[in-house]
Formats: sequence, structure tokens, C-alpha cells
Amino acid sequence: MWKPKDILGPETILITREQIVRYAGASGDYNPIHYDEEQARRFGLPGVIAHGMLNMGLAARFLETQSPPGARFQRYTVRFRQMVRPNQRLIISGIVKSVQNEGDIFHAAIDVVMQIENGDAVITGQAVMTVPIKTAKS
Amino acid sequence: MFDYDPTRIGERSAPRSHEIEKGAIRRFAEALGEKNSIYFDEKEARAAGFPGLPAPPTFPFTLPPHPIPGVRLPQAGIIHGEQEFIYGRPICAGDIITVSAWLDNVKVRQGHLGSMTILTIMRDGLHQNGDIAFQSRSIVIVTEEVQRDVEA
Amino acid sequence: MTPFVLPSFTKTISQEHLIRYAAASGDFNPIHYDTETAKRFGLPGVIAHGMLSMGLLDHLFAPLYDQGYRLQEISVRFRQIIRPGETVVFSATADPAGKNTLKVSLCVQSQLANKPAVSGQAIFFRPDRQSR
Repeated sequence: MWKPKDILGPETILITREQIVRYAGASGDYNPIHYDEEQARRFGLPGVIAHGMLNMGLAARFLETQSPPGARFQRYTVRFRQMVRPNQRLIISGIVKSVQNEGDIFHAAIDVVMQIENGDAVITGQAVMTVPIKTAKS
Repeated sequence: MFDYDPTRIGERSAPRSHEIEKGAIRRFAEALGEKNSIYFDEKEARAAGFPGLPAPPTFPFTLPPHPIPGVRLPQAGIIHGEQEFIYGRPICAGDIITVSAWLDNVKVRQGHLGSMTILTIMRDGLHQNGDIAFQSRSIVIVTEEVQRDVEA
Repeated sequence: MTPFVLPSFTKTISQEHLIRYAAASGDFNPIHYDTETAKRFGLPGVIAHGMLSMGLLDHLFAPLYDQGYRLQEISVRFRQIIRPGETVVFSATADPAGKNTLKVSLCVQSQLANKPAVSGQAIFFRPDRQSR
């Protein structure tokens, strides 16, 4: 089971144009700034950018892969700090802030950060996850 | 086009129901590179205690509400500043989730990009029996530049 | 019976169409959304899915469906690429062949081009009322 100060990850991922297009399709967010270079530049962007919600989703997927079985999100908050361009490499990591035992479940508070290679944060966030004690012991 | 009516803060949009389809959950999970089989295999989902394929944590954002009373957001160029989800009973394939949204707060601030309007938009989703599925809080920022551009 | 022209329509193919079609069809070939990759494949830029043009032909068939015709066969040849931003004319001529059969010749042509981007043929059959 998690203990305070446990480090999760890091995991390195690459956001591709294909992933951005797939996310547009799966989320229904067809804002052209995510696939049309010209339109993106018209809005003052350096080019197309990944959906903020894609970054948030990828950080959630990361937390899930790092969690004990049966863990569920109770609360998940992120702050979007920087844009992500296609083919950018991102590093996701987390740290367990606190763990509380409440009846037959644990509540774990975790900080998560997604960074580009120079260390700048793309998103920072907090998750509260619940873990059933039965699976947590095993 | 961007404007908002401060007298309509707190007013909910008409409820909008969404049928949660398996295919949509799988496609969404795939788009995020999920490997966890609970999002793809119904047997695995049931073994994990879900009645059907569960929705990944940020999936509720793909269930659009009806237009928020008193708010008109530009089509492009708004900045998503912050996003929060609080979860109730999990959303699973086969569920019908009714969502509604409202403007919670508006702030206008002077920043290095000129004046920015910061909106807090709330959204919630209910199961058919009234159980809460999720509540979401979004902070979106409309910069002066975008306001000018879309009005031009 | 003499051949007759079906109502044609014109459509400007946008980049958004391509993205939506990629998502709906599952065809995420980068030549439809990644300019650099498209150029590496010797294309002038991103191009529309051939199957998108073929799929859009279906709008021409609405009056035939209304008259009880059912699509039996359709075949097309993709002759020219279509790029997002191009305005394209979809047209068809139906030629009665036998009592309940129509042979429909199909054409998709960019307003800028002097030859069709897609040409093809469809066969429609109208079952007798009793057997419908």
C-alpha cells in the first residue's frame, strides 16, 4: 500500500498528431486549433496544440497504472499551465501526500505533474483516490 | 462572439441526457492509450465490481450540456485554466446520464495579455435514479485578444 | 426511357471533415491530417480520404430511395486527389435499364479541375410492391 512520500513514475510519453486527432474524435472536441495549423496560428498559437483534456486524461491514466487494484478516483483536479505541441516528449510523475484509513477503505491524496523535458510544468494536479483495504493488503 | 449576463449566474441549463455507449468508452480509452482491460472487456469490468464497462475519469467532459443560460463563449481561443471532477456512483456503459451546467462565477482581471475574463463553469451529471455521477468545475479564460478577434 | 440527371450538390471539403471522417471510420492515416508526413509521401499536403468522397455520393441517392430503389452495387475509381479547402461538385445521371433497374453514373469533380476526382457507377433495383 502507498505511504506518504512514495514516488510514482516517472513515465515518459510522446504526444503525436495521431493521438490528438484520435482524442478529437473520441471526445467530440473538433476545435480546429487541435488539427489545423493555419487556424491555430490565426489564434496566436505557435501551431496546433494538444487538448488540455487530453493531457488531463493521460495523467489520470498514469495514476491508474500506478495504483493498487480496486483504486478509484474520488476527486481529481488539474491546473493547465502550458500548451503541448505534437511530438513533444512529456514526463509524468506523482508523489503520495497522505494516506488515511477510513473504515474499510484508504483515502490517498496524490500530487501529479506532467512536465516537458526542460522541467516546465504542463499540468499540475491533485487526486484523491480510494482503495479498498482488502485488495490493498494483498 | 463572447458575452455573459451576470444576473444569470447560478441558472442551470436545461437537462440533457446521454446514453453511455460501450463503443464510446472503448474509443475514448483507446485515444488515451489506456491498457487497463476493464475499459475494453466486460468480463473484466464485472470482475472489478462494475455493472458494465466503466468510463475513464475524464470521460464525463465528453457529455455536453445544453447551452448555459446567459453565456456565449467564442468558438476558439478560450484558455482552459483549471479542471476538477468529483465522482459519485461510477458511470458505466448502458447508463443514462443527465447533465446540466451553470455559470458559477465571473472575474475580470488585468494581466500581461490585457484584460481577461475568468469564468467558473460548473457541470453535474445524474444517474436515472438521481444518484450523482459526477460534478465538474472548469475555469476558462477569455483574453482581450480573443474577444477582439471574434468580434472583428 | 431516357436517362435523367439527379439533383447535384456542391460541398467545400474542410479539414474538420477529414478529422471527423478519420474518427468515424477509424482511418487515422497521417496523410489526412499531418502535412509533413503527407509531403514525405510525395503529396502536395494533406488530402481527403477517397472513402469520404465515396461516402458523400450517398446524398445524391435520396430521391431514388424515396421512390423505392435500393442500392445493389456501387464501384468507383479514385482518379485525382482532393485537398481540404477545395469545392467539389457531386453529380449523377440515372439510366433506366429494364423495368426496375437503374444504372447510375457517378462523378465527383473539383471546381478547379478539368477531370473528375472520382468516377463510378451504381446499380439500383426497385423490388415489386408485393415483394417489398
